[in-house]
Amino acid sequence: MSIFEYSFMVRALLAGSLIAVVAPLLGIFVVARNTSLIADTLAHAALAGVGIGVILGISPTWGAVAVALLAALGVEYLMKNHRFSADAVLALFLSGGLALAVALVRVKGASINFENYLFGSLITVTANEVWILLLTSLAMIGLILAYWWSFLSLSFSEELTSTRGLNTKMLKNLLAVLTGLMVSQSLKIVGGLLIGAMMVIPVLIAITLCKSARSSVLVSIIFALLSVWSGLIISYYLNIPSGSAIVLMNVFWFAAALLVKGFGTFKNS
Amino acid sequence: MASAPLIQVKDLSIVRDGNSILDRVSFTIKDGEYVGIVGPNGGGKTTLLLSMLGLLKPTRGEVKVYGKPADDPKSRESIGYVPQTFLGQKFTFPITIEEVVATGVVRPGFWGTLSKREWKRVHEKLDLVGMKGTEKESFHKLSGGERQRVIIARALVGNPDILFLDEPLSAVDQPSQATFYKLLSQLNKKGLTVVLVTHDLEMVAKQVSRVLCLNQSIYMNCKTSELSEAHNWSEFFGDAKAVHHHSH
Repeated sequence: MSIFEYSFMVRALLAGSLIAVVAPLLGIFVVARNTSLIADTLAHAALAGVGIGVILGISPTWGAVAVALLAALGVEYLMKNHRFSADAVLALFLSGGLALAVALVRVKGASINFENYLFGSLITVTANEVWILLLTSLAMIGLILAYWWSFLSLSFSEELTSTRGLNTKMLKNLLAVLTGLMVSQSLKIVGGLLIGAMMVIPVLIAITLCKSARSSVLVSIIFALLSVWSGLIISYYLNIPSGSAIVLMNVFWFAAALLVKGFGTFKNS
Repeated sequence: MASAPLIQVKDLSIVRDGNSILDRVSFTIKDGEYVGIVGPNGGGKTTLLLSMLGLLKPTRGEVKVYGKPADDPKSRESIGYVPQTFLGQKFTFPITIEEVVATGVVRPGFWGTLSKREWKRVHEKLDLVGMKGTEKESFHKLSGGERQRVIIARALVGNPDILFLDEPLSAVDQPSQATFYKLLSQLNKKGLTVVLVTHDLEMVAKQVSRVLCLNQSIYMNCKTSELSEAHNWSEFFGDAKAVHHHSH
């Protein structure tokens, strides 16, 4: 029986493909602004939201979305209004989020398999969740494209962006909120501990291979899709967590890109 | 052109953490002028520039661009800005020269869909700063001087009336500096108002037509030809080296 005859596999492929488009679209600005850890940080905060969802008896995914959005704004607020360095603020939310998540899930008992949210799980993705992911992904893609040049300008130089009359505070908050939304929606597929890699590694591949920002978008999305598809298939056949397989495939493509680039440089020298 | 001064700074004072940075500074800049703002480090040059860019609120007094407050969005559209230390040095993400200039388009459309007219303007500005033919090249491969020319093209893409430059050549080699000043002079001759902020009086005196000497307050506001070594530059700069340079 083909793996695509299983409905859970089709749902995982659809959801994974949506994440593979949105994650690098945002990841480009996250990496360009030297805040690569923000995805991991918000994912850990989202895990606390899973715990809160379990405690309150609501959907863990909605709990994750709410807490990730609050954490996104909290990170931006602390970085803007206090003399804390960005990495210190991210470390605060990262460890605090995971600590709270583990504590909350333990308090409630083993009513959910928390490991699924840490490393991703194919079979737990419901059709309803795929629909919600589709709608939120379309909204996120629309917003990212609408603000693409402004986000690029912000990443290139905040100082120059503000002197052109653009609201840099709004742009930074919007990026943080979109990242929080994307991360919390991806917990079940890629897992909270691994989603950061989906935003960062395809972008690293693009940095290795591309010269322009616009071609970087296309290249990072193509490699993210390849990683998701190959990772899900490997996950199915080897019975390993989907997030783990997807991230390993991302690392594989990154190593391949480095080799190709290295070979090209050697050939031209 | 409008008869109102392009920039009007009136009785501007800025106090930060109890320290007076600018004290009752007043001057005007007219359309088409090439002005140098000179002063010692810590004399308030960058603070004054940020006020004119509308990024810093005055404690007292006012800054107007074409009669409107400097922080009015319409005022910002009249201004192009080239910063002191270009932050793009930290930016390692792939970006082409034309993409850098395109980030200066104020109200762009969807990804990759800048209008033909806007792309044409991007390429025209690159041509203007002598970077024609490099549009698709990587920005990261450029020298310091070439980068600053691209940043000028970026500042010009919104068709500003005035260009502010804050110590634009701190990381640029000598031959590139000469090319750069020639470019600024050409832009000024084409009608662009240029305001150059620097601590180097000798250099600025060779370039601009009017000098504002600033050390918390205006020490001197005169034509370049009226500058004289008889002034007490040592007291003004608090730095004998700067005086020595001037006296060459």
